[in-house]
Amino acid sequence: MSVAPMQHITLVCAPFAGAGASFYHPWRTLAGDRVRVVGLELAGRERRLLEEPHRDVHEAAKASLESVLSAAEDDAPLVLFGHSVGAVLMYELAHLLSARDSGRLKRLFVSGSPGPWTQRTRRATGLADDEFFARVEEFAGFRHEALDHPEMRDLILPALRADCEMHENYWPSTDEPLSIPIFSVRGSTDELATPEQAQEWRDATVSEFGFTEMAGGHMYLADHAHELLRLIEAVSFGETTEDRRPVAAQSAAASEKS
Amino acid sequence: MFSSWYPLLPAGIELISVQYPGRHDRMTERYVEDVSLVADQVAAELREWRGRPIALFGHSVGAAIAYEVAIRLERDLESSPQHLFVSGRMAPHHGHGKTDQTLSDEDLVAEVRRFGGHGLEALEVRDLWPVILPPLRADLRMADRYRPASLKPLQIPVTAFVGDSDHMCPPAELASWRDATSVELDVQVMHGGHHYLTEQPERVVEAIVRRLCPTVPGAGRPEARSRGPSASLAQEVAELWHEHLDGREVGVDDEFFELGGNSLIGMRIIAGMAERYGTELSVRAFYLAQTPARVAELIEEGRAGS
Repeated sequence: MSVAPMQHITLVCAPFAGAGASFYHPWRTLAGDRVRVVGLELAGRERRLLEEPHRDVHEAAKASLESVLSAAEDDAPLVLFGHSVGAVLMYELAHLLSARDSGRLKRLFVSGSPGPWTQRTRRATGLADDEFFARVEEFAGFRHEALDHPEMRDLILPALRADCEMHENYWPSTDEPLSIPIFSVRGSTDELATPEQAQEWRDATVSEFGFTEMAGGHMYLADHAHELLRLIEAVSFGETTEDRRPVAAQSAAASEKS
Repeated sequence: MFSSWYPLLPAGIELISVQYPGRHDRMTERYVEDVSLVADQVAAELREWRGRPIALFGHSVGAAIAYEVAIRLERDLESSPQHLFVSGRMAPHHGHGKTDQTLSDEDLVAEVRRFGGHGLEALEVRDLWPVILPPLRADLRMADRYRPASLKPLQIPVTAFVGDSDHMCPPAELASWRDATSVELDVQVMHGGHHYLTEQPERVVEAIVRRLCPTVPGAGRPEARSRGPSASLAQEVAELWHEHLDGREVGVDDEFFELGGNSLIGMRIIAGMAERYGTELSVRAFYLAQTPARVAELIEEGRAGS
């Protein structure tokens, strides 16, 4: 029996704290023809501004299940991507999808995140506004321009707080590993996820595990979207390790020396 | 109760009356004595109107129901109502006097006569009491039981009406609705008791229409809107967005985030519009409006100074 070669994948992407699906909008054109990018829109931001943001990863995952399933409607294999809190959210979603036995979920990419059993020790939850923003900026290693605008800050704050709370209080729903491959990526100078921590995801799957680094800090993906997407495409379509590792490893090595 | 309003409303405002279960054409249904359940049902029915402007009005226990419906509709951007009108009731978080549930039929009728209201003539006919009194008692139980589930303020303006001699709702207490909205509260004291409404529907309807259609009577007509100045203003707004969105084609009904908008682009567009049209549009209002057509409406409202 022959298996038809995979034509394309649907890549559903979960954003980091405070962000909305619009972060992944540019990925739609940056991604190759074989990758259809869909941003996950969570409650409390952008189009869903009036809704209460979720404060619990498991609730957020359950609430997002239907929209992920409808994003996957076109029968293409489904690949999930999540950065930082988005990583653990997508991990929980992967478990939910596996339980549904849809069989369409092929792979999970996690970014900027220690394994699911490693709790965040540095907390921003509960701090007063100014301290909270300062702490978050410290974590992320960057300051979003939008936060300089007081009205925008106020608009983003509830979702940002809720995301931090859900990330800092997260504990995995199960100790059972996934049966689909996991690939973990980090920025080479990310202080929120050391190389060892980023590779903890190995224990979260009984299938293949892959890991690589790209130049940059926690928010490396803002500057390296194109490379990241090439990586995701190559790994998803089973193109050889040698093809992609040198590109990523070189740029990581170069930045560490400089 | 609202049948007298039909001839008083302009063409652009459609009146929809809520019928509680257990009376009139819903006579065969059991009474519902839970405000939340009634609100759930109403909000579900209103899904048909998603995307179209809705305002809510409620009198007495109806005010609590209208408030709860507003909360439910606000959860969905497309359904969020324009305005909440409440009458003859204090704010949800404010305590509400308890009615004596043990009153005999005679005493209950005497109480009802004391407060006035519509349908009083029917009470003269004792044989009709078994038809009239049970739904009334159900409504009183529903009113007594009601507690708001959340104290989070609504994001829409509220106008509160009351009769100046309403014994159940002292006019001074109406300011309590201030905490139920993060936008603005307008209190209108009318002449009369708890059922001032049946005595002077014209005044109330006039006040409502003035708030919903700030410029010209009949200006709320949806058809008028699409033919009038808004159509070309919406086009202009779409053009401006097109400049900020990397030259993407922008239709008047295209949604901002679908077009690739984000917070930074949003702020630039808002600044551009403030410069061109002189109206201060909040980031929040912009996010909720979503399309050039709706933003154009907001700009027009700003110009009308409502």
